[in-house]
Amino acid sequence: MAIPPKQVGTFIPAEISFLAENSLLTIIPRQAMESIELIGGTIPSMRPMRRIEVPIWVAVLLKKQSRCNIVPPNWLSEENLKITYDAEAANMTRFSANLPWEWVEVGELILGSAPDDLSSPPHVIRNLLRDIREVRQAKARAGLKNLNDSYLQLDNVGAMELNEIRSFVTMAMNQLRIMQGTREGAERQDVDVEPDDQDDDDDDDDLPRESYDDSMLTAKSYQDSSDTARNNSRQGSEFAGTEDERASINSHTFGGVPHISTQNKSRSALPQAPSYTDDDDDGENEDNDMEMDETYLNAVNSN
Amino acid sequence: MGYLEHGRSTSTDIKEGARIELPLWMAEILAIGGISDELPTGFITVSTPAPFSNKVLNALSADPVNVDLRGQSMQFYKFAERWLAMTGDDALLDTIMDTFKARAATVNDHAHNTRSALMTDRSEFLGTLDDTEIKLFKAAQEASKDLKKWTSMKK
Repeated sequence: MAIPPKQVGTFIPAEISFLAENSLLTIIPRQAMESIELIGGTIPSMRPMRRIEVPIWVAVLLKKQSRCNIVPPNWLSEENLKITYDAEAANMTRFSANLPWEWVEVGELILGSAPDDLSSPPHVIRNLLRDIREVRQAKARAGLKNLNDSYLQLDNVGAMELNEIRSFVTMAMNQLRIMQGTREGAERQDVDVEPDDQDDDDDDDDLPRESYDDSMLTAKSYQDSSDTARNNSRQGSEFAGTEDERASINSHTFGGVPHISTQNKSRSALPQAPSYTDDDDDGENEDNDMEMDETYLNAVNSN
Repeated sequence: MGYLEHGRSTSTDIKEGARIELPLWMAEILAIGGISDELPTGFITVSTPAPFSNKVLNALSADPVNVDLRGQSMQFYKFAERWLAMTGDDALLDTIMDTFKARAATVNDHAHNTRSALMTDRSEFLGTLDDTEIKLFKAAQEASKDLKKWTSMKK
C-alpha cells in the first residue's frame, strides 16, 4: 500500500478531521441506550436528558438518527467566538489561546451535523469562524517571514492550520538547514537562533538549547504520534490488515524532515485536551481506537 | 584537453592562464585534485560563478523578490549549496539565506492567493523561481487547494 508522496509528509484535511472525531463532546440523549463496549473505550449508557460525553463520531451518528442533541462546546457560542475574534484582532503577533487544538474540524463537524443545536443561527457562527480563520491565517503568513533553519514557534495554532502550512514550512526549513550546514566549520551550537521571531515568546527559554540542534522535532510529541495515527487510519479505512500487519506498519516511522514546534503550555488547560500523547510504545491503544472508527465507518457506509 | 571547453575544436590544448567554463563537479576535482608540493595551487583556480557575482548579490540584497533567479541558474539554491560547500563563504551564505527567506514568504503568499490583487504580477514573479522554489510553491498551493476542497465538501 503506497502512500502518495504528497501525503507522506503531511495529512490531507479529511484525515485531520477524521482524527479530530475521536475527541469528546457532550450530548443530551433523547432515548435510553445501553452502554457499548468498544475495544477503544466504552460508550457510557444513556438515559434521556442526562448529559454524557461521547466521541464526536458517536455524537454525529446519533444526531443523524435523531437520538440525541449535541451540546456545542463553550468556545463555539456566538458570544465566545466574538470575544475570541476581538482577542485575535487585538494582538497580531500571537494566536489567542481561546480555541482548542481541533477547532476548525470540530466547528465544521458540528455546523455540518447539528446546525439546529447551536445557540445562534448557524450562518452567524459560520461567519465568525471564517473571520477568525482569516485573521489567524494572516498571522501565520506574517510568521513565515521569520523562518529560520532550526525551528518555528506557533503557539496555540490549530491542527488544520498547522497542516495547511506544514508541507511548505518543512520544505523551506529543510532547504535552509542544508544551506546552513555549509557554513564553514558549521557547529550546530553556532547556529544563529534568531530571537526576533514574531511568534516566538518566552516559551523557548524553557527548552534546552540542544533541542534545536539537529533541527529535528522540536515539537513535543505531535509528529510522532500523528505518524502512528496516520498508519492506523490508513489501515482502518483502507484495508483490514491482521493485527500483525498493523503492528509492523506502526513500527515504521517516516524519514526526518524538520518539524514544526507547536509548544503549547496552555493546551492542557483547555476543555478538550489533545488526544495526541506520547505513546510510541502502546500502539495497541491506537489500534483499539481504529476498531472503534471502523465500526463508525461501517455505520456511516450503511446509512 | 581542448575538448573540455565548449564549442572548441578538440585538437588544441588549453593554455596556461586561459579562462574557461567547466561544470562544477569537474572544477571541484581539478581545483582540489592536483594540489601537491610542486603545484600548491592545483590545476586550476576557480573564479566566482556568474550567479554569485557581486552584481547579482547586490541585486539580491537590495530586493530579493525582483531578481530573476531562474535566469541566473535553474538550480540556484542547489548550485549555491555545492558552491558554498567548496568555498565556505559565510557572507555569501547569509545573503543567500536572506534571499531564500524573503522569497519563500512571497512564494507562500502567491500560492495561497489564487484570485487576489497579487495576481497582476503573479506570472511574472513565478517565472523567476528556481526549481527549489517551484517545489515549495507546489507544496503550498496543494495544501491550500486541499483545504478549500475539504471546506467546500463539508458545506
